[in-house]
Amino acid sequence: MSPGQRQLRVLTIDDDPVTQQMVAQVLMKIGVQLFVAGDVVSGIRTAHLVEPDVLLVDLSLPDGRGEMIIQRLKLEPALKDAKFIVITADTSDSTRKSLEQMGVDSYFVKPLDESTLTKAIKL
Amino acid sequence: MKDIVEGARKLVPLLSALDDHAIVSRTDPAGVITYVNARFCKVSGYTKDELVGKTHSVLKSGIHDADFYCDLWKTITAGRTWRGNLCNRSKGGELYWVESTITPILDQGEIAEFVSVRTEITDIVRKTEAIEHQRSVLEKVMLSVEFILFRESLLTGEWYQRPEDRLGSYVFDALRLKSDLVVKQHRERLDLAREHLGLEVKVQLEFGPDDLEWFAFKYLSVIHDESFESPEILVLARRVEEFESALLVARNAVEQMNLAEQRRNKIYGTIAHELRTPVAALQMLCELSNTEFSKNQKHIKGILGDLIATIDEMRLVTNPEYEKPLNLESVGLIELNRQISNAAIPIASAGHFRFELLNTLPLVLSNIEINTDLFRIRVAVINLVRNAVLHSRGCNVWVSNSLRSLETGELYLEWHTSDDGIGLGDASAQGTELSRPGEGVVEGQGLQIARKLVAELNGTLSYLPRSKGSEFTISVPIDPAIFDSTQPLRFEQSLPEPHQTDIPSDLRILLVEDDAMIRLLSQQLLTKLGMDVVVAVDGEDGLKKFDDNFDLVLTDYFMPVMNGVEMIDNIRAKNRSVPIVGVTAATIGSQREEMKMAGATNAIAKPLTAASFKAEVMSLIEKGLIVGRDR
Repeated sequence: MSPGQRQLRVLTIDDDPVTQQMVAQVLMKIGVQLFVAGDVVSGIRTAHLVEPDVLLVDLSLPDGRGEMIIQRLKLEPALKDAKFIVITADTSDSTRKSLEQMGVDSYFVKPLDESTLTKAIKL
Repeated sequence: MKDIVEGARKLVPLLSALDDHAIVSRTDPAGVITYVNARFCKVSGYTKDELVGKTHSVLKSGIHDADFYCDLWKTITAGRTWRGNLCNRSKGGELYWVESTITPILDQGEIAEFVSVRTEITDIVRKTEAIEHQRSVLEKVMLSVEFILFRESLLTGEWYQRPEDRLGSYVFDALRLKSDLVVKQHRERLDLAREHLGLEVKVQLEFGPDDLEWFAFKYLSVIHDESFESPEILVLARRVEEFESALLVARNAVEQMNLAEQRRNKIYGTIAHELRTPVAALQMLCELSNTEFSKNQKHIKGILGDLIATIDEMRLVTNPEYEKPLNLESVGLIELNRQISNAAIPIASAGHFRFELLNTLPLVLSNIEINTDLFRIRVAVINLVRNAVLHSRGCNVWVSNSLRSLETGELYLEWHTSDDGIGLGDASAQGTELSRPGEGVVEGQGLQIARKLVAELNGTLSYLPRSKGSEFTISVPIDPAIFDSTQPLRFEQSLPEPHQTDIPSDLRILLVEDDAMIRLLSQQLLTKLGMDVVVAVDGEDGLKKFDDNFDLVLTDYFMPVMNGVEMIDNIRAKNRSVPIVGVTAATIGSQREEMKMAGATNAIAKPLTAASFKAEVMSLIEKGLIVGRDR
C-alpha cells in the first residue's frame, strides 16, 4: 500500500509519553496511520476529526476518565464501526465488566505486550 | 342558310369576348393591316385609321433582331402558325410584350390573309426579369460567402443534402460536413440552435489533427414529408471567415484572462491580508520603548521570518512554475507547526473560518528536529488551508499530524488539512482529479502548488473524503530509524547532524550594495563574523574597487550607475575564478537567472543573515571555490 490510500487509522489517547512511544514503536511495524492525543478533550476532538478505525484509550487521563471518551464516541455515527481498545493499570473485575457493557472490544493491562496488541489491532 | 345565320349569331358574343380579351389584327398576304380590334388600338395607342393600310413594322420595338422577324415571316408564308413572345413599341414610345399567335388563312391552297391574336404579357415579362435579376444577385451573394444548405434528420441526427438544397454555386463539399466533426465542447451549442430556430451559433469542426475550422450554424425550419414520419431540419452552415475566427479566438482569450484576473484578485486579497497581520505586529512593536523592544527581539525575528516566507509564497502562488532551491534545514516540529498556525490563522479569519491546529503526534516526536525544507511544507499546508477557505464552503479548517508506516518499513510524517465543507465530487474522490464540483481552476492551482512542493520533498499529496467535508494529506518520508526499538527515547541521535558552521574567518570580501541601511547592516554582520569587508555603493564603484585579492564578491542586483549584472560581466572579463554571489530580492523577476548568466557563482535571497552567509561560504568551500587564508 502506498501513501494516499486509506490505511488503518489508529488514535491512541494516553498522556504517558512512554506508553505513547511504546504504542508508536509497535504500530510502526505493522503499517498504520497513527494519531496521538493526551487527554479526554483533545481525544474526543481528534476522534471527530480523523475518524479512526481503532481507538486505544487509557482510562486514567489528566482531565478525566477514558470511559467518558468511550461513552461519548460510541454515539458517533461516523465511528460506528470503530474498534475500542482499553489500556489501563486497573485490573479490577468491576472495571472490566463495565467496559464490556460499554461495548469495548479488547482490554489490556499495562505493561503492554507487543504481539497481543498487534493482534488486537489487526483483528 | 338558316343554320349558317343561326351559327353566326351564336359566334357574335364569343367574338366580342375575344375582342375584349385579346389583341386581334388581320393583314393581307403582304402583311398590310386590314383590321385591328379596339384592344389593339388601346394597347398600341394608335387609332384604327393610323394602322389600317400600314404594316406591323410601325410597332417594331427594336428589341428583336432582323433574324427574328425573318424567321416569323418564313413560318407564316410557308402556311404554318407562328407562336412566340413579341416586344412592341406603342405610339407613346412605351415597350409592351405580347404573346402572339399568327395564323395564315388559306383559300384554295393560297394564303388569303393572316390573323393574329395576341395577349399582353408585359407584367409577366417584367416580373420574370425581376426574378431573374434577384436570382443572379443571390447567386453572387452565395458565391461571396461559403455556405451550404443541408438537412439534419430529427430521428437519427444524420446530416445529408437533397438535390433541391443545392442552391447557387456552393463552394465547398457537403460530404465533408459530418455531425461528429463538431468538437465535443461545442455540441451543446447545436442543441441550443435546434431549440431556437434562426439563432446562429458558432462551432468548431475538427477535420483532422490541428485542422480546426469555425462554422456558423443556423437551423432554419422543420420539414415534414407527406407521411410525417421522418421530420428533418433545414440547416444553413457557413464557414466563418478568418477575421471572424480571429475575433472568436480573441473573445475566448479575453474570457480566460478575466477568469485569471478574478483568480489573481482573490489570491492577492488573501495574501494582502496575510501580509498585513505581521506588518501590524511589527508596527506595534516599534511603538514600544527601547528596553521592551530589545526584550521582544525574538518575536520580531519570528514575525520577520513569517513575513519573508509569505513574500516567497506570494511569488509561488502567482507563478507556480517558479523554482525555489531546496533548502533542507533541521527544524523542530513545534516551530514548524507554529509557523503554519501563524500563517493559517489570518487566511482562515479572512474567509470567516475557524482554524485549529491539533497536536496529534507522540510527545517525544514534538521535540525532535526533522531535516526538511521548512518553506515547502509550510507553503504546501497553507495552500491546502487556503483551498479549504476559498472552496469548501464549510466553516472550520483543521490541521493535524500523524505518523504513517508502511509494511515495507518506510515511515512518513503527515500533515492533514481537513474541512467541514461540501467535499469533492465522486470522480474526484477516486483520486483521478482533485477538484470540487463547480469550481476548478483556482482549486487546481492551490493543489498543484502543494503537490509540486511535496513531490520535491519526495512526498505525496492525497485526498480522503470525510463523513462531512474533505481531508488532504501531505506525506513526507522521514528516517525510519527514529523508531528503532533498540534505541528507545533517543530519537535525536538518529537525525542527521546539522551543518557544522565553522567557516574560515578573515575572508576578504567586496560588498556591493546601493541601499545605505542594508549596506551598513550587512557590513556589520560580516565584520562580526571576522571578515575583512570592502564596501562599494554601486556597480561602477564595485568594479573600481575590485582586485584579484578578494576571496568573495557579494553584490546586489538593482543599483544606479551600473547594475549587478553589468558589474559581474565586467569583473568576469578580468577574473574568471573569484566567487561572485548575488544577493537579491529573489521574489521579483528573474534576477537570479540573469546574474548567473552573467557569470555569478550563485545567487541567494535577501536579507543576508549569518546563517545564509555561512551556508553559502560552506558550499563554496565544498566546491573548492574558497580556500580560507587561515587554512
